[in-house]
Amino acid sequence: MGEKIIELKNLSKSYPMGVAALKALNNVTLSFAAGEFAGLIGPSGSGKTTLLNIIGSLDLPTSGSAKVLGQKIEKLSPKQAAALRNFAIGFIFQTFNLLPVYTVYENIEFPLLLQPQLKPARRQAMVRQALEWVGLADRAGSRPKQLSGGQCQRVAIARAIVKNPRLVLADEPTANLDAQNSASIMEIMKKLNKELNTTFIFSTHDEKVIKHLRRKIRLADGRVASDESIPRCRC
Amino acid sequence: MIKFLLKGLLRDRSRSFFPVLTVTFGVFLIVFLQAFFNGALANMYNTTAHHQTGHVKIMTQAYAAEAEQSPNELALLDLADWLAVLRAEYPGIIWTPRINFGGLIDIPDLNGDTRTQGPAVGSAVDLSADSPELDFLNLKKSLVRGRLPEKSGEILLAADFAQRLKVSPGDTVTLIGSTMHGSMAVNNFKLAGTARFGVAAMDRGAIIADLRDIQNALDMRDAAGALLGFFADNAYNDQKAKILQANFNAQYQDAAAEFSPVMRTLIEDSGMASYFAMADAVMFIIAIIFVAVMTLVLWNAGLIGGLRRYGELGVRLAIGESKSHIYCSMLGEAALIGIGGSISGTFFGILLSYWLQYHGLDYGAVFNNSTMMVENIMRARVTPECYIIGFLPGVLATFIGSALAGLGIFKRQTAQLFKELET
Repeated sequence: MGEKIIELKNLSKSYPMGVAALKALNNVTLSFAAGEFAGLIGPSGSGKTTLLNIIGSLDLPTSGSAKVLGQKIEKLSPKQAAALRNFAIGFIFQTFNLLPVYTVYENIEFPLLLQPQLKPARRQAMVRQALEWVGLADRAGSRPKQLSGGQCQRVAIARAIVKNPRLVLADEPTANLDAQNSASIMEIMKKLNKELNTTFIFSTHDEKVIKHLRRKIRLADGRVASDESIPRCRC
Repeated sequence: MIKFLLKGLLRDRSRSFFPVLTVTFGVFLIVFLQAFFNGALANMYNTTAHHQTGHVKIMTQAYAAEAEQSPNELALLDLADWLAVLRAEYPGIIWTPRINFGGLIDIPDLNGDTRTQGPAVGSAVDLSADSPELDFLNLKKSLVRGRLPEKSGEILLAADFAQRLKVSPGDTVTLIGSTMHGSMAVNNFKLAGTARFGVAAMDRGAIIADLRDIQNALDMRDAAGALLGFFADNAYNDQKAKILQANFNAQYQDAAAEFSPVMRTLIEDSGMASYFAMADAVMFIIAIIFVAVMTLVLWNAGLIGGLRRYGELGVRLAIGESKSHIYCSMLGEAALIGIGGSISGTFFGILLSYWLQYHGLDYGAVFNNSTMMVENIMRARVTPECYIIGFLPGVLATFIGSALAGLGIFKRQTAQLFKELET
């Protein structure tokens, strides 16, 4: 087991709903180690995305604490939260969310442009490397609308991992893909997890994703219902 | 990063081309409207100046007191001396004498008996070939039939008036009026041509005759009702006119001597000071309202432009761009769009305004029954403020629109933006 990079203690999140409050997360305590390939599993409304958003410093807990990569999310200023996402966290979305006016290369390059200390040559090398990882080196000049759904999601993965983040958060990454593309995407992510030791946390209820996970955390009504780990294969 | 954002801006027509087009159109309208109003106001000034008052006008004090009756018995004497003095002391001003007169036009038949008659008002002006009056009254272009008076004893009649009197170029026309000394004056003239002056009030019954002929006819040797002065650039400037007036009156006006000269400015002499002030104010108010409306339109365009990009902003936030960086980039884009649109809008607005300034628009039909001295050709007038007026709403409104839209980024929780991105 690697070092703990995420520690969630008694985490709760409520949303105001009229006079009452909707409790999306209820006293969640979890931790994740570096290099995990874990998933938050559960039906819609179980709190998966809320938890993912808090881990990704996109949202704040109502109570409890969330320590991600050594930083307490609830104490971060918006600028510090942005810096954390910029340098250490990659996001993969259900709907890819590529910027349509930019080429594949430019979409992948974008997160690196937010790190001004990177020299153009280094940036170019990192983008080329990310394209190689996802097998899209030959589509660098294409626009997102010229790609299939599977290819778009591979670009999104390349965009998430190009800055070598320690953590990648993937929200229903295969929801818009067919079985073949889902399998291909999952294989790429497993490979990156293995080769780069990047921690992947998924939010999903898709069996095609669940079968690849080495840790399955089931959420129900904002609580952790079960937490099941499968030892990493050393073969 | 700037290059990256510019690339996106240029490639996304909905973010660049269409907003620039909106700003361009709005600024174009503002610039054109400003030039059009300038032209309308200048048209009013020029028409009044050319046909009635000059930019400044010198008369005897007695004549000035009853000027609306054209009392030629109170005319300015020693005209040649006055012209020499004025041309020497104020070389930047074009000085030209005029006599306004009224009378009866009588058209004789072959036997010399009256065939038709009609009342007429007339202006006696210098009709020599190099006279500036030909341009001031636009006589060459106004000719309908015949030619301009070239010889002594020739006159020009308004075309409609001539048609009513059933006279043609070459016919004899008798002017029955009164001399400077109050006796009856009857003089025969030959009709050289007919003209449409482009001023409805004149086209109904005006005579244009050479100054020397009328001086002879009305016993006004070396005298004129008034001496009109025009600024060399042919544009009325009230401030300049007032300075000139103050200088002249201080030097030559003698309050006790009713035949001493007095200078009046166009605004004073036309008796339309309040009318001009009102027209000025109304045009200013219309321009302000228009600028305000366009500001709202452009502001809205900026707002919509910002709002429709919430999805993109969500991605950028998730990737790690800070809210302030996104906000600044939005404002930068808005400034670029505003400046680009303002430049092109100003260019096209000025282009059309210059076209209208040189070619004009004939709207004479509107004033068919009017007694107002308004030229039938409407011209725009490009002034220095036309080059800058569009930038105020063009840049500022787009900028404010984006700034307000961008405030939404700060007001919303990051996760909320993120959710909007997913929908």
